[in-house]
Amino acid sequence: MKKLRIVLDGMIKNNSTFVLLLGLCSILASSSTFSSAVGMGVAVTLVLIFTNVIISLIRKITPNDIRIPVFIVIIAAMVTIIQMLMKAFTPELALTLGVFLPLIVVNCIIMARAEVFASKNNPFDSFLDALGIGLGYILSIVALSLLREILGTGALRFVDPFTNSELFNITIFPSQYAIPLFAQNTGAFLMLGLMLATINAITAAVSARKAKKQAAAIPTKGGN
Amino acid sequence: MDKRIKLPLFLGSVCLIASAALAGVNALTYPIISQREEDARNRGYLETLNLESGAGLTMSDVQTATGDLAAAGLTGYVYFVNDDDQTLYGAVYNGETSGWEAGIKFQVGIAAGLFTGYNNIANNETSTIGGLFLTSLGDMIEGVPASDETALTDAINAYVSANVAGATANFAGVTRGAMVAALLACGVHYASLEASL
Repeated sequence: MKKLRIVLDGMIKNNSTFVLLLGLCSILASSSTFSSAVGMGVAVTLVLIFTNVIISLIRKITPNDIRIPVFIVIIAAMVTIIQMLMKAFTPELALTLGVFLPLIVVNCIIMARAEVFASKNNPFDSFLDALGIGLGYILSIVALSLLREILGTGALRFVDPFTNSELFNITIFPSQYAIPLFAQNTGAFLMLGLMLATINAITAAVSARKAKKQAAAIPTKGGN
Repeated sequence: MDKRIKLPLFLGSVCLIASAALAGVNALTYPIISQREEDARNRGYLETLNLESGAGLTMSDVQTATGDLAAAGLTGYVYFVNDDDQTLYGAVYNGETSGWEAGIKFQVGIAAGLFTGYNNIANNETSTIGGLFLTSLGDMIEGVPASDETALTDAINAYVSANVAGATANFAGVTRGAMVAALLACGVHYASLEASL
């Protein structure tokens, strides 16, 4: 149960995008299409998993004074490895993600999890934490991209990154009713803002209901 | 162990291991990436001239770019001559230049003094900025006189104002400057090649 809690906390309670508001640059830039969002999500998750596990494995021998430079070297190497592999095996996806692929190095989520979790916990727990945070990141970027692509183009398509062939292309509504703004950079800010506002409103309503229930459950002092 | 020795030694070891891992992955991926680029380049020799096949034409070996051509980022070129009268049919230029990022690898075809096509082989540009310019460049330049700077600039501006909402400033950036310089160098070279054959 405790292990599942680590994954769920990473996905929901500590969701990097909607709760911690970390790594928003890549979320905004790579969420214009569903295909690129999935690609970026998987790339960030792989980097998170490998860096968390490696950092956790060497945590006991890493001198505290130089832990940050060591983390940076490991993260940079992992991102470069993922970038080279993507350029070789998923070239179109690598081209679509462009500069945001190497920029995973400076994604705050990865450094934050290395410092806060992986450097203090065992490799398996660090793996689970990275998996949870990574899945939370994928969930966020995919949700944003779905709304942006559907509202911006009226359709939803997914391209196989290995063969560059279209796996599906579903027309949701005629393209003349689409709002292209959502597929552009400005639309990313607007849509993320709307999603954050909605999530905050729901969270506040749930908290208020919980507080009300708790208040009702506390017995009031008797008059006599 | 003394901290002054231990800390650099540890960091150095981590860097060494990371470098070895990178070298290993590079050894695996580099041949795949190079082969794909080579295949794209070979296909591009006909495609950029809008040719279905090379029938009736003879293609030269790849010539190494020198002088102004090399200075503008071109690495080499091939030219096609008509088998009938040995006149120049067209030429395809290979280039590698830098925009916002290094590594823009491309081909451009010229026939009868006009740009006929552009082949975007590889680049590291951001897809919505420099990358967008590169993927649209073929549509911008097709049919434009190759050595006429004004015509080329007008053609690019016309495409941008008709098709690119809100990104005009980005389009006029580093990628555009590098590519226009390379295309014009190709145009000038083509004119001299035409005169020499």
